Amino acid sequence: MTRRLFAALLCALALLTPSVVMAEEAGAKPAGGSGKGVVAIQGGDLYTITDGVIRGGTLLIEAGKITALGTGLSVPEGAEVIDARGKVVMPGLVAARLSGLIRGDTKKIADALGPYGSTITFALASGVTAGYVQAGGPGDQPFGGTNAVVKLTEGDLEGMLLREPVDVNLRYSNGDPRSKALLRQQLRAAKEYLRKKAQFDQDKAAGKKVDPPAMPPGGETLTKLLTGELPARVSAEYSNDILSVLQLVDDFGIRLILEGPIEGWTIPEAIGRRKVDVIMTPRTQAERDRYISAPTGSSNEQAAILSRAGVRLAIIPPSTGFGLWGGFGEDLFTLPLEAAHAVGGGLPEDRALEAITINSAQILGVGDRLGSLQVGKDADIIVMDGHPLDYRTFVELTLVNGKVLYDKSKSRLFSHIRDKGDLPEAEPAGQ
Amino acid sequence: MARLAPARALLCVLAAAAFARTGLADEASPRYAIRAGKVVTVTRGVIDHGLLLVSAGKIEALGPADKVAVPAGYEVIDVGDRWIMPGMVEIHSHCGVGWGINDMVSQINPGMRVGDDVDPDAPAIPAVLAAGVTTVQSVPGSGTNHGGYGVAFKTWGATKQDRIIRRISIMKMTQAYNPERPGGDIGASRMGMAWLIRQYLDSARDYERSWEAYEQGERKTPPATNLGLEFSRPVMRGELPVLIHTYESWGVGMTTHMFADEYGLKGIATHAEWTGHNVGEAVARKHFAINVGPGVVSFTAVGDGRVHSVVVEFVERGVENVSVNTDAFGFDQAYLAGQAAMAARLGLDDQTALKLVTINPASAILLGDRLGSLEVGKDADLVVKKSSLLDPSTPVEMVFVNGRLAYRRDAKH
Repeated sequence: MTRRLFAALLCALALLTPSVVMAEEAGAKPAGGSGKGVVAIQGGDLYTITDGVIRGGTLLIEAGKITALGTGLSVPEGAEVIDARGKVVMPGLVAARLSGLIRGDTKKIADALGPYGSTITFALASGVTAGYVQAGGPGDQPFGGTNAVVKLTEGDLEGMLLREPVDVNLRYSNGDPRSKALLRQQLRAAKEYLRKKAQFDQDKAAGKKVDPPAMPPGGETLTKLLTGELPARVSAEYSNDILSVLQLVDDFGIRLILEGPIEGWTIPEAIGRRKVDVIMTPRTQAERDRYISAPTGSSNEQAAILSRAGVRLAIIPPSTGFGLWGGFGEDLFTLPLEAAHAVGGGLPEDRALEAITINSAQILGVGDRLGSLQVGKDADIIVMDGHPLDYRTFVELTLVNGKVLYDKSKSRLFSHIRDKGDLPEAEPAGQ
Repeated sequence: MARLAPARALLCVLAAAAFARTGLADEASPRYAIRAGKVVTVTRGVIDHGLLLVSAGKIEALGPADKVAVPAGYEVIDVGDRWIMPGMVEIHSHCGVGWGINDMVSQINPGMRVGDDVDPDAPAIPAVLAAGVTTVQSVPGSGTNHGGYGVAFKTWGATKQDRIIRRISIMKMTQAYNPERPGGDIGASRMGMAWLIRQYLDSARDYERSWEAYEQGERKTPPATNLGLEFSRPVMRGELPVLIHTYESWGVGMTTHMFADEYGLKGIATHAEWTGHNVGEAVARKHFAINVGPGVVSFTAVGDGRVHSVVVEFVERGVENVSVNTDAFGFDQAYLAGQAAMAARLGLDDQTALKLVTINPASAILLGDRLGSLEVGKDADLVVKKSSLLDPSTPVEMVFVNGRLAYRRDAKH
C-alpha cells in the first residue's frame, strides 16, 4: 500500500511541469488555451481501479499520459474527443503471462521484439495492452531465461520494452529433489559471495589491498534475488510443493511470485503471511485426494480465499496466448471472463478487476506506469460496450500511450458482431 | 403452458408417471414446490416470480407463483431472486471413460459399447454436476470410422443403474479427419473410408430389413443373428441417431449427404468446424443436426480476417438444431456453459444460446421429450443460480436430478 502511494506521489511530482495540465475534479478549468494534442474520453463510466468508479466522467490525455480525470472537466478547444457515453472506460488489461509474442529462445527479449503481428493485433482487440513475456522457462535447470514486460505499442518498436528482466523463473519442485538441492546450494554460495563482496568493498574503501571474491555459478542472477532486486517466479500447484517453495522465502528472504497454485486455498495463511504474490487461473479444476480427509484438490473459491488472506492476486486464463483453432473463451481473448470465474467463486468484483490490471502491473514491477486510471500514468485505456465482467462485453477502443490502436468498428476481427437480445418474457397464459 | 389449472397439472403427472422408464416414480420421491425469481423454461420464455412443482422425479406444474397452488405435503423451497433453469445436456463427451475410447484393430467396430467402460463415479463427475450439467452422453473416439456406440447418463443417482438413461444411446461414426491409415490396409484415403462406411451401413440396413421381414411374417425362418449388427437395428429404424465426427465443407457435406440422403438416418454432424458452415443451407434442408465444438470459432480456415462463431454461422443458415460440446475427458466437461456463452458473445441471442446446451442437444439424441427444458412431465433436472447458466460470475447453487436435490453449494467441504 505504501509502495503504491509512494509511486503515485513520485509520478504526480514528475508531472508538475508547466506544459502538463493538472485538472482537479469538480469543474476546474485546465490551464492553457489550446487543446491541440489533447485526447478527451468523455462521458463514460471510469473504472479507475484504484479510486472507484466515476460515473459519466471525462479523462484527458496528453503526451501519452493521463493528465486529468473526473466529472465536470472542461475539454480544451481543439482536443480530439472520444464520445464514451454509455460505455465503460478502464485501464488496459495487463497479462501476468503472455505467450506467442516472441519466437524461440533469446538472451534478451529486446532482441526478439517486433511491433507487428497477430498476437499484438489480437491482444489490442481483447483490451490487453501489456504483458509478461518469457524467453524459455527453467526446463531442467534451476532457473530459466530472461523475461520482460512488453507494451503492445503496435507499430512502435521503441515503446515496446518496458522492463527487462522482471523476475527470475525458478524450478523448485518436490518432484525433482536434486534440482531443489542444487538451487539451494547455489543460493547459499551466492549469499556467501554477497557477504564476501561486502567485506571486500569495506576493505577496499579502507585502502586494504584485497582480491575481489569470485562469482559463483548462477551468482549474477541469484544475488538479485537475495538483495531483493528481483522476485522469484515459481510454479507450484499442490500444497506440498507450495509449502516447499515458501521455505525459500523463510530461508533466503527472497520475494516470491507463486504461479498456478491449485491447492493454495488449503494454506491461505501460509501464503498470505509471507507477502507472496499469486498468479492463478480460477477455473482450474483438479481431483481431490479421496484417501485423506484433509482438504485437497481444487476449489473455485481459491481466488476469494487467498484474497481474504491478504494475498495480491493476478488472474490469467488457462491458455495465455490467443488461439483461434479451439479453446475460444479460455485464453487472453477473454481475460475478463477468467476474472468473472473468480467472482463466481466469491471474489468481490473490484478485487477481480484489480487482478487483471493494477495487481498484475504491480507484480510485474510496473505499477507506477500501468494498471489504473490515475493522473500521470500511461494512457493505456480501453473503452468497452458493457460491464467488464459480462461474457457479452466487447472492447470497442484500445488506446496505448494515448493513441487509438484498435477500433472494433474499423477492424475486421469482430466488427460484424452485433448486439444480442436478452431472454424473452413468457408466452401469454394458457399457452 | 405458463399457467396451469391444477386438474390439468394432475393429468400431466399421471402421464409423466406412465412414461417413466426407471423406478424413479416411487412413493419415496420427494415433492417440492420451488419458488424462484425467474423460471427460465428455455422453450416457452421466462416466468418472473415463478413456481415449479416437482414430484415423482418429474416437473408436475409450473407458472407464476400467484397462479400455481402449492398442494399439501410439498416442501417449499424459496430460492429468492435466483433463477431456475433446466440442467444442461452434453452429447459429445468422453467423460467418465476410464480405459480408452478407441479399439483400433479394424476401421469398423460395431460391437463396441462405451457404456461397458463408462464409470459414472469417475472423479470429475461431481464437478460436472456442480457446474449444472445433468446429462452426459459419452461416445467412442474418432480413431476408426466406426468406434461403436455411446451411452447417455445422468451425473447423479443412487446407483449406476439409476444414472443411465440409455445404455446404447447413439451410433458413433467418423467420416474422416483422424482414422486415416497411411499404410497397408484400406482406409488410407477418403475413398476407402467412404467405402468402408457404406459397406457397413448397407449390411446394417440389410440386416434390419431381413429381421423386419421375419417379424412381419414375410419370411418363415429368422435371419442368422449377427452380434456385430444387433446394435445398429434401432438406428436403422430411426429410433436412435448417429453422431458423425466430421469437419469443413467437404466433410459436413459428405456426411449429411451420406447419412441423410443415402441412408435416411437421423443424425448429428459433430465438430463441423473450420469451413463446415459453408454447406449450412444444405444441412438445414436435410434437417440434420449440428454439434459444434470443442473449437467454437473459425478464423484461419475462413481466411477473411474475421472471427466467426461456427454456431452463429449454422444458425444463420437455418439449421434448426445446433448444439455445442466440450469433447471432454474429465473436468473440462464442467465448462459446457462456456461454449454457449461464446456463441452468445459472438452474436447469438441469449435464448438461442441457452438452447445450445439444453433442449437442442436433448432433442438431437431423441430425448427432447424428457430433458432440456422446463415443461410439465419432463425430468426434474434443475439448476438454481443467480443469473443465466452462461454467466460464470455467479455460481451454481443447487442442482436437482430426477427431482432429487443432488448438489447444494453451501453444503460442500
